[in-house]
Amino acid sequence: MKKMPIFAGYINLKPINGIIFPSYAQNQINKEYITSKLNGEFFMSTNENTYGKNNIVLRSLLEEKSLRGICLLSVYSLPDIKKQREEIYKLSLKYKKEFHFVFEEKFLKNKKDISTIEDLFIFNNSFFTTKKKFLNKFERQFVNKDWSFV
Amino acid sequence: MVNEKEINFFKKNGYLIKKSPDQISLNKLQDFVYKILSKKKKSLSKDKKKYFQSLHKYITKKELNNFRVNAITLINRNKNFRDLYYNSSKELLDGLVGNEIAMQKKINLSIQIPNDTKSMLPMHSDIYAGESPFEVVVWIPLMDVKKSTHSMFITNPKDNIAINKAITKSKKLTIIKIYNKFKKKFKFLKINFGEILIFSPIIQHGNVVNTTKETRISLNCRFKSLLSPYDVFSKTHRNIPHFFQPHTVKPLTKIGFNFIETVNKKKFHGSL
Repeated sequence: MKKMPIFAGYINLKPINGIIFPSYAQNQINKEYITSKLNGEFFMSTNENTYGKNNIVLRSLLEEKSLRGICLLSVYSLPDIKKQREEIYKLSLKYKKEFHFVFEEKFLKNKKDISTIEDLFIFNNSFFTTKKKFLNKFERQFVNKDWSFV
Repeated sequence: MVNEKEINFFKKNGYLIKKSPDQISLNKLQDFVYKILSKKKKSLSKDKKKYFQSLHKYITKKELNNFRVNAITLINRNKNFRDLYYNSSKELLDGLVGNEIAMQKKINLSIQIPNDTKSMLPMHSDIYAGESPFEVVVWIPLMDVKKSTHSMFITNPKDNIAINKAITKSKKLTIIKIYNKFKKKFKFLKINFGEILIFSPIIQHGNVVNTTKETRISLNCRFKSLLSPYDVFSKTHRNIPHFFQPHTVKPLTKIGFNFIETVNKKKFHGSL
């Protein structure tokens, strides 16, 4: 019988575009994705150390021999600093580990996948994450009562 | 192309119905939905429209929700379906929204079988649930939809102002009471297969129990300009990556955002 690949869940308690998912919810989402979508065996999710800045849990999972890969809620669960992400990508390629991102339904298996993932970091820019409440002078020129729907 | 007359219609009515110039994509959408539905519930008719209209003969009300959820899962598993959906409505989106687009992550399938009281969606505006006023709903019927309870209802921007006021200010009235009070201000839309309905979800809309003898099957999905605001007034999950997915990202958008990021990091800009 073919052995099922094992994927670990990875939990990071930082906001993903404003929303912090509690660890139990992240664990459940990772588990569901691993078993249903990846047809894999679930390896208990681990919490990143919220006090360190060295991504120790993520790096440790990458060195875990029994794993095919790691499942994360989003690409934004990866380190915010590009240099740190590049280190993580390097390790994942070195240890031949896959990354699977639930919300984006994307993966990183090879070097060529890195640019697909990095392209998504545009959308972590404050332009996309800041709440809009007021119009600036430029935007106010478009205000016209004829277009008021409320 | 969306012409000025159509833009004015949209301004006045909050919606627009137009024949899609990409009938091939529409037919493929219809084919795919037919295949997945008829695989679960064998069809006696090869005529897709007839099969959809009579779906209630193959399925019980009790089975309906699971049937719908399974179909939605299969639709959303198919990446090509998203492109077909966008292509079929591209002309309208180009004219009303833009050509650099964020698309709702999940395409929805609506199955309204006759006399089903559990699939009702009372009058509502999507902005109440934190959605962006910059978005539109693209609603695609997979068969001819009659101007009756077979369809969805919508009001117009002018009456929407009064209804919105009643909903947000009233301390005594319920949604259903407000709907009944303004019932005459709503209309059911007739849409044929091959046409696309696009509407601003700021405008109150919904559906009632389908009292016709035919099932209605339609798809809906939200679109917005990629570079327009997502969280307006409240911070919710109606953003990337939770609710929207970038569908078309132009090269200059990538260059521009990368430029800002690089300048900030390297701090070589004189004003920093």
